[in-house]
Amino acid sequence: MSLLGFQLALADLSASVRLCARVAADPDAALAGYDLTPLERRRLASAAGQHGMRVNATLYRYNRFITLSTVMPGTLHLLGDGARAVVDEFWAGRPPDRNMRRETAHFAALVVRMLDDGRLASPYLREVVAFETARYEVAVAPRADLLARVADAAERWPDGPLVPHPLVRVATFAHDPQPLLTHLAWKRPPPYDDVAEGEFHLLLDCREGPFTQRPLDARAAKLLCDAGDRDDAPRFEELEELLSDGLLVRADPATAGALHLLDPPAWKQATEAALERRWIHENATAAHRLPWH
Amino acid sequence: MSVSELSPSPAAERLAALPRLGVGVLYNPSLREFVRDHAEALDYLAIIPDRAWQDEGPGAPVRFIEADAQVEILDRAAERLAIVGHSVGLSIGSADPLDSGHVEQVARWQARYGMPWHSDHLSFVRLPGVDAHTELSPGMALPVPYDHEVLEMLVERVDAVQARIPVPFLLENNVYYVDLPEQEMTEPEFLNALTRRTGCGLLLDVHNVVVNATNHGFDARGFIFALDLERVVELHIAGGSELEGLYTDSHAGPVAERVWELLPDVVAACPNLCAITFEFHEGWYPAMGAEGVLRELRTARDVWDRHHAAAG
Repeated sequence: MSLLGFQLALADLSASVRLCARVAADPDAALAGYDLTPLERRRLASAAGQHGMRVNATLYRYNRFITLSTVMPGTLHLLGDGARAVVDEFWAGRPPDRNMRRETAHFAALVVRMLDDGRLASPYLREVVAFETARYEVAVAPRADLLARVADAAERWPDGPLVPHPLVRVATFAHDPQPLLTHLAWKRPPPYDDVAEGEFHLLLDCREGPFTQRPLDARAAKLLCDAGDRDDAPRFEELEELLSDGLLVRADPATAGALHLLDPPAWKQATEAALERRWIHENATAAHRLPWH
Repeated sequence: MSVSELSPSPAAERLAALPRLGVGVLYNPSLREFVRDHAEALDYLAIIPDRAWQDEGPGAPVRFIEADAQVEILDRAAERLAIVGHSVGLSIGSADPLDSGHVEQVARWQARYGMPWHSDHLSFVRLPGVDAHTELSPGMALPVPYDHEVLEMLVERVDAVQARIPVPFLLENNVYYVDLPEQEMTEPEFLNALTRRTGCGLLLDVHNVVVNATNHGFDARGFIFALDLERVVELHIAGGSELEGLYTDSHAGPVAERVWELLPDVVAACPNLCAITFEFHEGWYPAMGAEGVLRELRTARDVWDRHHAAAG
């Protein structure tokens, strides 16, 4: 269906002033990979040369950037002048995803990869990326549904395995998060001389509705993080306090992780596999699908 | 019987039977306190349902993850105000199979709040990926060409939506920054054909018309009066701003002066008009404040009231 080819090409043009320039200069060559009628080719060649395409490209960048800045303001602040290059690399490698959680999760993964291979260097960035992605994940979790599942599991499997409540997350920091997050909230530039180094944990919690965060001691953080996937289950007394606080809950013995509605392992793998297939497809058919940039 | 099988007259009668709501605002997160404190200034609240859920995609075990905090706000608003739905995610102009999952979700929300009608945009925001579980996004709403091939595709898709949603379905006219040459119909001709063939209504975004008229050099009034205005159920009014040398539909604060100039005549010419919705970008709320929003609503209400007083 050539209308689909036309829409793919129009979307690509709207995202890239460089592609517009190539189409304006040599439409036949630049549009050769798209399934188009001669009329559609003429329309796209005309569109590529219009000033309005610059508006489209700006709107494209704005719309994608607003997602990242909404969810990961601290991360972008720490990236500072380098943010544009990181964002450009992210957009060049991956088309927009209307799902904000996936879009920001993939951006976070890129930042972590760039930290791992030394292309980014910031003492605070890794922990802030993890904190902001966890904060968003727990804040948008389907609270009513998850609370119902927790209550159901408690009734059906009173002796079931203990797992962290699906509406809490633990964020671990190598710097004191209280002054660090205050600096980020006020958009103060690093370095932050008054931020102590060490091991710190925050409990991110949406069980009661509005998002809250509070310090968590190292022992409780470790128990929470290890619950559900440790072979040498700790003595029950160690967990009793977390259980009575509602931070640990009972789960189906067969699928202890399934309470995490957004990220049960099977769904996570399926999502990654689908994204991988799309990535392979896009690269394998590069002649037909011009790169997003 | 699908709506498109109705003769033009019953389809118009269906729109004519809708409740005349009055003046409202399109909800955004900056309006949380405003809606609580100034509900008396609103006859209804227009909402973008898609902003209250996260779409995990057709292959997900739970596709639509609803944000409970947003839903609670809307539930509270619905106790005091009529709710009107205005979606952004249907992508009715996409050259791909209609997203029936999205339509089902919209139908659930229509039933949940008893929305008297539902609207979306005449554009595409989604393209198919490599399989049924993936999709591509252009990153913005893009217009469709006004050709017969596209009209046939849209008639089928609008019929499918109307077969599932039991209230009138409206489509909003596009804003576009690039002219596509050699289109087979003008935009009014296309919209008139689509509403005539399907029986659907129009959400006439007056600011979109002003934006297009400004950037593409045509007469906004002439455009509007070339439409079949019997089909117009709701109006959108908004402001804009300059970007890259063009005037854009950025919803920048107060309603544009040109929109206010057109509004009285447009209201008077739309016999089935039920609602005038003020929309603005949430980033403008700190500058406008509650008083700024109330001022825009009062001005719109003056137009609404003057027309209804004159019409008896």
